[in-house]
Amino acid sequence: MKRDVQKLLIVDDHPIFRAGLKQTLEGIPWIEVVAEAATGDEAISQIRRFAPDMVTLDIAIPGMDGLKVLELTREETPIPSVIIVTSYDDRAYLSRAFELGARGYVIKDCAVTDLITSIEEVAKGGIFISPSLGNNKPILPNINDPDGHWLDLLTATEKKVLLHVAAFQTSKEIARALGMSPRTVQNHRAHICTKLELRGAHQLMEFAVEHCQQLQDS
Amino acid sequence: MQLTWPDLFYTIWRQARTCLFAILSSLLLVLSCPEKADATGSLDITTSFEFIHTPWGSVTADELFAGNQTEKFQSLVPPTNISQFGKETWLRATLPATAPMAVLEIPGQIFNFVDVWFRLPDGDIEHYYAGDKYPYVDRAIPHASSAFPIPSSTLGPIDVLIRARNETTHRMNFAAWIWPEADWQSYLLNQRAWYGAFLGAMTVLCIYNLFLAVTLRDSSYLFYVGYILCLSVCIVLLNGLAEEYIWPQGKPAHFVLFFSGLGAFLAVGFVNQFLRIRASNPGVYWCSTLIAALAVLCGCILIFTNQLPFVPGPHSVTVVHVLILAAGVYFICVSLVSYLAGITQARFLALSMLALLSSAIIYFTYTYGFLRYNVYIGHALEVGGLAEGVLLSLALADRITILTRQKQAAERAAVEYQISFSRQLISAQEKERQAISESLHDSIGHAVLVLRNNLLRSAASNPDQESQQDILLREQADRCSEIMNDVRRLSHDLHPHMLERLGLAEALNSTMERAFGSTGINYTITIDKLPDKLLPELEITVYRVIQECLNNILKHAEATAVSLDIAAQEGEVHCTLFDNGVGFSAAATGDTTLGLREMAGRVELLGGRFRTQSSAGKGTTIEFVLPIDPRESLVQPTGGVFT
Repeated sequence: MKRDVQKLLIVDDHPIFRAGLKQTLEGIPWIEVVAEAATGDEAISQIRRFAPDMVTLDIAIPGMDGLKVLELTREETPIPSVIIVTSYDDRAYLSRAFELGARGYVIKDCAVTDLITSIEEVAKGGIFISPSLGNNKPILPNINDPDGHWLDLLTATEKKVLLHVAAFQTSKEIARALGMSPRTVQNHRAHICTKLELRGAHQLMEFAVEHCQQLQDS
Repeated sequence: MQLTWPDLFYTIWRQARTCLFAILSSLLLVLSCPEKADATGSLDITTSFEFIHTPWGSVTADELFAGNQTEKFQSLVPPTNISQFGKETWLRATLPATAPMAVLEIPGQIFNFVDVWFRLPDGDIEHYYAGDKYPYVDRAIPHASSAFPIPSSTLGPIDVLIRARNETTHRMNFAAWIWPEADWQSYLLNQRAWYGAFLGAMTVLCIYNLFLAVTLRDSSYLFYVGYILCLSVCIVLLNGLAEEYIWPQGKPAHFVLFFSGLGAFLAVGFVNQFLRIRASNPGVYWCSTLIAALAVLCGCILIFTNQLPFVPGPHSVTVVHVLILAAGVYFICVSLVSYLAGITQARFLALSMLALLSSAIIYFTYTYGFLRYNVYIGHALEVGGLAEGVLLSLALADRITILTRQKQAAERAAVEYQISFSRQLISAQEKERQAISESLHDSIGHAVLVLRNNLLRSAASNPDQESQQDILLREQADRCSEIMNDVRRLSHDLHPHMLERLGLAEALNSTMERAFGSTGINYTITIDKLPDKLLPELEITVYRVIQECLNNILKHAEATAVSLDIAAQEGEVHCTLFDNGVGFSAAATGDTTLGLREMAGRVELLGGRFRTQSSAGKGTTIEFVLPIDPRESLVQPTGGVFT
């Protein structure tokens, strides 16, 4: 499969770990590590300088933390796809990261095996979550519902919101696009999650991405 | 400290028991006296007199009755000062026959010698005398001031001739009132009641402050008591009560001056002691003490010799007066200056001496002939003296109030400093833990992670033919994972990294999940209306308390269900943690109660409340409430504590 070369920025405060990641990605021709950064401020300036397609981002970095950097990347053009690479395996971080627009979440313990897969998945336009975080795939009776009965559960506004979620937009961006407050968007997201029995922003995004076609059809 | 009205009222209230009696009695009597005097049949006949001045002993009453004087009588236009040093004053009048009058009174002040001759229509002459140089027992009417019985006459008007003599340069104002018998008696009664009340009030003030002097071991109270006693004695002497009760046979001269001097000395001692002038301004202290001591010395000399050495003629008395006046002025000046310099305790001092001085001014304005006699003037000195006593007593109480306030403020500041220090200590401890936690996670955690990845990479180089060595490498990698997990758990326990990044709600959610997710304990967590941003100090406290409680539940409670409710209400965070375990009294160990007490302490340091409710078999409820803005209860330590 012929792919465009993905320009990658690695953000981690640990030089040996960064070297490890670089080493892992070395053999892959379509990934080019254009820069590295050790702190949040450095990360932002490197993004501005190199305009990478993708960023692997640690949460626990000095200064501005990874989540803050992730939030700021949404202001950049073009918006880089962010894969969180962290040792935090709490669902709370996972959820928050996807809420803020991350596309992948990789646990450092499994980085050797998961990182390349996640980059591939994100490059294709999907999302990725380390399998070691447990069963994150939404278990829904209607998930493979070809008739799309689940669509009847949602209101028109909620469907619109869901479409934007599928386009990897954060609550703030959706709010701007639909002309409502971020708080309202969050409420809509929460309602959608309750109706579709989804847990957390990552499941919502996964669901939205998977059912994007059905949504657009309706 | 600023002067505030509540302070003032508080002081007055504290002294109320003492002052109430004095103030009320003086008020009532001052109000009732003139009414009695005016409403009854007394008659002011001052203006019907004519007068002449003659050298001592140059004329006799008989000669004047016969009209053998060389000088012509002048009519008396009040208010007129009639005394001339070295001369005697003769006054004559004819008593009106309008009503039967029983008593002729020469009120207001005590002359040295007063002689009165009544010439009846039939030519009989009756002679009476009064004045402080005549023995009291010889007076025709036993009364403190000069009063004489008017002989009854049915034939016609009675001529009256008065001779007033003074040995001093004191100015004397003359007044003459005549009284019907019944009114005179009730007037006497009123006066005695008034003097009784006045002296009673002064005595109460003295006794009360004497007790305080003993209790508080403060010599300024002794000065006060001495001063008030001297003041009372002076007033008693000026009113003639002294002759009536103490020296009915006559007394040595100039006692008034001696006691005035002693009073001035004690007053100066009082104000110096009260305002600690000796320490702050020794020059002023010695100067004022010397002047006051000189007044005492002069008064003492006058008692024995009637004349000061090196002072010409009649001016001995004036010298003592000037010294006493200087002491009074010093009293006012030093208290005013101290008050203006910020010593609040001085606020009643200047006021008290002003009260006494103004009453003295009223009195002397009368004796110099600028005012006409009335009952107010007659009692001006007593009212002034009483005001002085009460206000000085207030000043002493005021000082206690102010010192108590200052002490309380200092204690409060100390407690606040302690609280603030404890909070800083806790905050430093948390910071240190965070630093250790982060370096554990970042250095050791990452190093082991990298090591593990390297081991795995080496082992995975040949996945198809796994050698004994590969298996060994994988085992080592697994050991690394275990170490990593231990390090992470330790790091998380030391400091919850989620708190700053995701907020309190997420951190608690995650902690509950960690704690109970694999235990089979059902847990619910409800977080309601919590503000997005809470103070880090508050968040960490809530988190730590709940963390401690969760540990207790896991260790001891044997619970199957746990619920946590957190809600923000009226500027406070309310937290309730319930478990259905075995309860406290059964499960509590030393560790548990110690930990909980420590947590309660942390909650209280932020101005919160902590409550546990537990009984065997009925589970445990732990409730605590924290103000959302604990800065309101936080007082920064005052600058310079460590310098």
